[in-house]
Amino acid sequence: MVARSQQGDKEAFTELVRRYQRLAISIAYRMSGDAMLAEDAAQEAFLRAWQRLASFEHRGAGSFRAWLCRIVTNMTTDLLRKAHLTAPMEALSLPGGVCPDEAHLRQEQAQAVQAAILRLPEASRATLILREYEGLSYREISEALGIPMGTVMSRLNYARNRLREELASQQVSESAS
Amino acid sequence: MKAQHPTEIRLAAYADGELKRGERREIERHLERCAQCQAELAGLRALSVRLREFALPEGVGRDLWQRVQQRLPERRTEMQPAPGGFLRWLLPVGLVASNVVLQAALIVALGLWALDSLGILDWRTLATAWLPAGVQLPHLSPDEAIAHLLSWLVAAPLGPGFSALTQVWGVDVSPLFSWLMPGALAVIASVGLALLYLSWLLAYWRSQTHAASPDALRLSRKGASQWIT
Repeated sequence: MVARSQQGDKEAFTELVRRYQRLAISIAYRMSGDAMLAEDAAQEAFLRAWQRLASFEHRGAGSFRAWLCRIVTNMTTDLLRKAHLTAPMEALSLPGGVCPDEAHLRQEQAQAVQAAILRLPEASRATLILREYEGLSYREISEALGIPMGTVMSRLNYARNRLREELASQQVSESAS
Repeated sequence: MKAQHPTEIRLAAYADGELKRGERREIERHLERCAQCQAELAGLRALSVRLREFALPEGVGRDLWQRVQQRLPERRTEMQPAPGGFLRWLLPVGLVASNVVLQAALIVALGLWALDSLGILDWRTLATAWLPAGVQLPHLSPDEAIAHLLSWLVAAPLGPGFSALTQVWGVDVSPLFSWLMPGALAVIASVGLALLYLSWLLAYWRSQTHAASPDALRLSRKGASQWIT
């Protein structure tokens, strides 16, 4: 499919888009927390991938996935910067003084996780998302982000420690109130 | 003797299934008797479960492939091509070539100037032989005109001729200034070229590390500020 797309076969490329659209949207959404921005980023990323396919060195399905992940993360970061959105915390603040039912509580917990992820630095956020949500191996993440394996591991460690601290402190403040 | 605790990074690699069989067994043996590391591992796994709460909203990007398909051009070449091999190297090759030409001209000019200073070669005589007959500039004697012309054509832009130029024009400059000026011009030219090289290198590095950048941003501020909760 990738080889046919490289030859300029639009149908083959469309099939690739269908196959990987959820991956692209998932990365972009978790990087930004914004569904519209995620759709824009994923769309532009696929168009950019089409442009650059001729120069892509195909070494199996994994390499295409890693290559696409790189384009999507870069595109999302660029769009976030252009839209001046780095940490959309105000939209994620939790309503106070409400006795939540179970559904509401779940929503609040999800928002807390989302807010904590969006507060991470971009580099650590991208590494964490590729590992935790997309299940990429350390080697694939290293290839996708163009960083050494050691950096992948240290960024993951940093992101996880920070998330654990933030989520634990939120839990403490929630139970106190 | 109590075995050392694995590092956080190593334990995380174990949890992520990134260790080889031998390393994995070593960690497992340690975990069997270390409550602290068991708790650390449980914390890592609990975090992974907790992160699942940040779910992708239903229906986002479902018809993305159709929108991409509509925007694909008939031929890939209709889209702006990524810098190819030729274009990518055109600028640096041009810079290197121009630098080589400048340096060669500088060396030749310096050589002529040195030979003239030592009295080995009379460059005015040489110049007379090169110029077409009858060339004469107003308000200047033929000798001055030739020197003037040569200063403009060869020496002045390069520096070594600056001294000769000031003498021809009768500008009152100190000998030290006349001696320093050629070197200063050469330094300025070299710094300029170095900056050009650097800017190209930065641009090339950015193009390599940044696989994508938005060339058609149609994102409205309104759209970007609508958060899915």
